[in-house]
Amino acid sequence: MKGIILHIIAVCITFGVFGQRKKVEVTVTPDEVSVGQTVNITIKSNMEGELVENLPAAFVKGYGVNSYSQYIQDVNTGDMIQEHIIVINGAFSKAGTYTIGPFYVKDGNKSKKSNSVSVKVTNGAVISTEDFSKDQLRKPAFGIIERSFDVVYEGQALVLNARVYSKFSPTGQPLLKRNYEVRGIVESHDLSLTGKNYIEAVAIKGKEYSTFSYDKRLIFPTTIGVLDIVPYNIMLPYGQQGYDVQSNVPKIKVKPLPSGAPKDFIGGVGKFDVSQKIETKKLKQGDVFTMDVTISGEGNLHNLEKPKLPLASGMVVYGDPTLAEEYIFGSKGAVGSITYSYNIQVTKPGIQQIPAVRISYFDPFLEKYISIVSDSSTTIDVKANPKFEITTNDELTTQNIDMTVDKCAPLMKFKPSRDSIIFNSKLFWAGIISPLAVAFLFLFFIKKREKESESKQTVAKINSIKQDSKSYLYEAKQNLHAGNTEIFYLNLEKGISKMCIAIAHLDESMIYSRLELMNGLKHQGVSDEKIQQIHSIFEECDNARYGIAGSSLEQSHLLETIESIKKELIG
Amino acid sequence: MKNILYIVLCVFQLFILKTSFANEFDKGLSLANKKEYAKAINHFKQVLKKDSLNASAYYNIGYCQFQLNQLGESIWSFEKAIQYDPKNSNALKNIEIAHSKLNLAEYEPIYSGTIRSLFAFGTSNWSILAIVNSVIIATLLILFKLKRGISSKRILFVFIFIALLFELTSIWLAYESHQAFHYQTGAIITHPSIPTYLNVDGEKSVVALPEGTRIESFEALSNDKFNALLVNGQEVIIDGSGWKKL
Repeated sequence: MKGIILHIIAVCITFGVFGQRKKVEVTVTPDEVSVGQTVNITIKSNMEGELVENLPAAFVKGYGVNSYSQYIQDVNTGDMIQEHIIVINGAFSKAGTYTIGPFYVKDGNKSKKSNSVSVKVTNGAVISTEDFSKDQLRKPAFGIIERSFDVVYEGQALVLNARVYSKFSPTGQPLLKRNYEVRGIVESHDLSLTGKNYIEAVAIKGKEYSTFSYDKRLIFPTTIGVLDIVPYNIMLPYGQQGYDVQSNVPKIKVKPLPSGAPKDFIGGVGKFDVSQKIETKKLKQGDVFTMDVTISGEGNLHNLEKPKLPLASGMVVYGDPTLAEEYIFGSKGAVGSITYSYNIQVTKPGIQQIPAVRISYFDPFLEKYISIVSDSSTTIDVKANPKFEITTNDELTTQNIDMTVDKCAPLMKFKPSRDSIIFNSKLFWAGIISPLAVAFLFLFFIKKREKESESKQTVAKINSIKQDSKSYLYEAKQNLHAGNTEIFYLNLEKGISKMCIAIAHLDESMIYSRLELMNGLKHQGVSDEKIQQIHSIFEECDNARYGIAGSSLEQSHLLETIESIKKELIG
Repeated sequence: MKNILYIVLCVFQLFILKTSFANEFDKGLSLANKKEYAKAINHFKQVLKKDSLNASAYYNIGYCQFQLNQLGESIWSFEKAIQYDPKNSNALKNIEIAHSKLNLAEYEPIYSGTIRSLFAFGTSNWSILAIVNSVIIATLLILFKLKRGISSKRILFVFIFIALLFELTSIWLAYESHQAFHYQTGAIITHPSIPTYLNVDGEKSVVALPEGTRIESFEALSNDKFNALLVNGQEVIIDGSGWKKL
């Protein structure tokens, strides 16, 4: 009984709280945008009435306000409830953090307040205008094509924006005669502020101008070189005829990506991140599990190639991954994420590791390739399944061509380490130096022996010459006693010549002049007095040869002088 | 007598040591063949505890790590195997496969072509060649002195010059291969990825170094930050974890 009463009370409370409750709910997608990027504001209400908006001044509403009703079932009562939905699209014209809401739905005297949502608006890519030319500033109105960059890499997000400046306020809607056009292979996405011409006032060089932009585009150029842009032509209504405006043509250069892209480059140009997720980590052999690889970021996200999975043997991928794309086009390119869901079959039992997924992309601001990996590798536990047989159907094998694991070279048999104990050891240096040392010692001894033998030969030669000299002087003495003056002088000259050759260590076989002999004596350190004496003996010998010989007393005196010189110089 | 006994004991000890290496190695090999790679690695590591320069043990550790998908670690082990045995072409091939699996740029070995072949000849062999060459130079010098004929002397002079060049080359190659054998300056990233920093204060940069990347050389900037020079010439600041010195 008590239980029944409690149940009834609980049902009453539920009805009271949820059953009849009127609600107004506001959601904004996305809640982080850049200036000019389209935003959807959705107001859901189960109450019919007049909607009172509360939008920030910087929010520019588009034409696409959409309202409809739908029936949903109340989870508490089971009743069908009518829900009124209004979707307002638009964009913000300035950066900042804005609060959207609260909105009110008024039904007679009753009013219901909604929640509020905060939206962060960033500047996004900076659109460069340019220095306005004097010619442009002289005109009542002129048009330019703004661009986010002057030089871009192929595939890099580039924003173009047609902007018109006029010194007068147009009296009606401008008439577009010819829109601007980018020729070549270019992918283009519309980023216009909801199609409306939002007019604002600006001052250029002290003069007031009205300006509006009318066609903001995100493009991904793929043709290398200077972009071929055709200018736009717009007519501003003013007076009776209006004013015709022709825009300038900006020069935008498209560079190719640098060479040396890593193997895991997936074609991304921008800034990206990668993550991986596996729901089930305990599996049976033969089970198929799903691995989600999410690439998020900004740039040409929508054009990325699927990342390669670094799977080990024992895992095969079934088919192509399914894609879940959640991105929008903004001034920084496609912003959001793409999730690739791979179906992988495990064919081997045991604990297996799925390594972190690795991708590379090109960062146009850092101007280099960046390699990134998902946070961590994942381990899965695969239980053996005896019923499982590896199938090799065609689809499976063809889908896995790039997942094939190269076979590792086989294990090695034991090989002792081969560290060098010789190099730089004493044995090494001894081995290098000792043969050379032995050779040089040998050469030294040979040289020494040669020198010794040479010096002995020289001494013997000198002695022999000395002996000859002595013999000549002895013969001269004999001839002096015999009175043979001519032969005396001849022997005297020969004896003294031989003596000079012996003292000066000269070659006996050669013929020397007197001067050479005297120089030789001088070189051997013989005193000048002795040299002079020898020289005068030579002169006396010459005089005798020409008939002016000295007396026998003079001759014996000459012989004595020579004997004394001989004794002193050669013993 | 004492000396002879000492030599016999040394030889016996060496024989026992070698046998124990081989036993441990064979156990590892048998486990690896049974695909029990983690256990096999432990046995090969035991071999390295006793013989830290054994290229075959490093190679087999690399093989097991490769099978366990620890690719960065396996690259490190294969690099060590090449360091201690430059002729090991299987280790080179396995590094190339690991690089391909990790989607890294094509592997460029530290030493390749002729230099690799010259280093592969081994420090000991170059040392022995240098010694033999020294004996040849000595003999040629003596002959040069003893020979009397000018033409013989000329020929001998040319031979001496060539032998001298060969001697210097042998010593240089012995030195270089010895350096390559013992002193590697590089490192390998063994974690799935390691962050890089803009400065030593730890401000992270957007660049992360992937597993298997080879660091050419590095130097400490502070207690936990290192300046690393990569193979492509890029310099980055990294912290002390996630990579292993070769």
